[in-house]
Amino acid sequence: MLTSFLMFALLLKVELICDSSQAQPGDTVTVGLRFPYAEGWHTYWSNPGESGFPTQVTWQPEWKGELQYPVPEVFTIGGITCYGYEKEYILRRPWKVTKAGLKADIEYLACTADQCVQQREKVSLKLPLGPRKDSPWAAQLHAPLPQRTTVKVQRQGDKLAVELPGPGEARFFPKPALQINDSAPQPREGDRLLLTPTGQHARLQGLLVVAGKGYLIDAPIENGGTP
Amino acid sequence: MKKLLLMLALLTPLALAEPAPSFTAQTADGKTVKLSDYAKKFVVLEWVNFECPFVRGQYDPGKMQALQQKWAGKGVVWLSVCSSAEGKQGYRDAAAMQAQLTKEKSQAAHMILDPDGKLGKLYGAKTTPHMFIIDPKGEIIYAGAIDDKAKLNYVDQALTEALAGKPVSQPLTQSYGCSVKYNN
Repeated sequence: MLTSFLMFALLLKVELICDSSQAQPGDTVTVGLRFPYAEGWHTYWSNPGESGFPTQVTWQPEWKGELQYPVPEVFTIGGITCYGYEKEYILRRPWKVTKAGLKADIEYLACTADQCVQQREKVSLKLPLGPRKDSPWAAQLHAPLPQRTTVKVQRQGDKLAVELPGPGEARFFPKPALQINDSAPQPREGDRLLLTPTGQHARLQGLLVVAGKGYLIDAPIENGGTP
Repeated sequence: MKKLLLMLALLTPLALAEPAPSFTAQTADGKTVKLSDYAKKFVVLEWVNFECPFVRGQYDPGKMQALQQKWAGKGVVWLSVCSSAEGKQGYRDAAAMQAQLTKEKSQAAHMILDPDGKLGKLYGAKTTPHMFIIDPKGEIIYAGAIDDKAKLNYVDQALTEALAGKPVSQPLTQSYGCSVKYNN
């Protein structure tokens, strides 16, 4: 237990990165919490799924906005379905530069198939002052993130049929939790993805991933889908 | 009333307010327990893995033990369950588990050892902790998290309401914590 914890702590060290190598106070820049890859370990999406824990960040100065997450992966271990990352990824937010800098206190859960450990890390960032200049992280911090899109969602028997915006492998990630059965298969039927709901919800909210591209959806559920 | 009916309708597909599956299981102190042994009583099932940080978060400050003791005093049967498979986090044989329960000052009536995961899968236990409450009619009246990750303990709230003859206001919540360490 202790050995694996230490090994893990060495492998995974969150960094606070910025798209700019210097900026003026008052400039709005993009910062990110970079979680590195650690073989066999995964951390969690903002809805962790059937187990896990969402990453909690306390910012100084205080910031209550929502971090932007990249497209997550699905983990099914022992029949339990979770959403997260076993790869390097970055959680982003904007920051209005101040001389005092930015601090983050991060709490997150990391798991392998056999065990979980809770981690706490403190990171900080102070930018040199000067005309804003791109840093080596700029490209990664400006890479496209899931965008809002409008899709049609219909009840089809005891399933929900989500109209897909394009071809390719598709997966729906619910957020908030408890909208669909996370462990139920999500078969694709033509241009529709079939989900198994957990009750009579009025809307379907979450992230739809098609051919690796993420779409944020918040759609009313319509009755009477054609079978 | 309308609101309550609507809420029940929402929850029916998740098998709430449906009969709790019956089971027979072995405990760490070498006994055999059956759900039917506790007919006409409230029963709490608590999934546990003493190495999971979320279980530690309940046991280290004594919160879980205090809850066990409070409700045992009101006639509620508290059954802890460990579904960690042999070789996985949280697994202990009967003797080691007994020693651990003493160390933890557990106030549960029994610790069920479920290394083959049969009971865990029967109830759909996903996390540690993961909590279920069964009422004296044998229906599941609560399934989900131990708390709201802050101050509100859902199990305490549900038992308080149910023992006062009231419907449980939040019968289903998203449980969180380590995944139950089943043998795949």
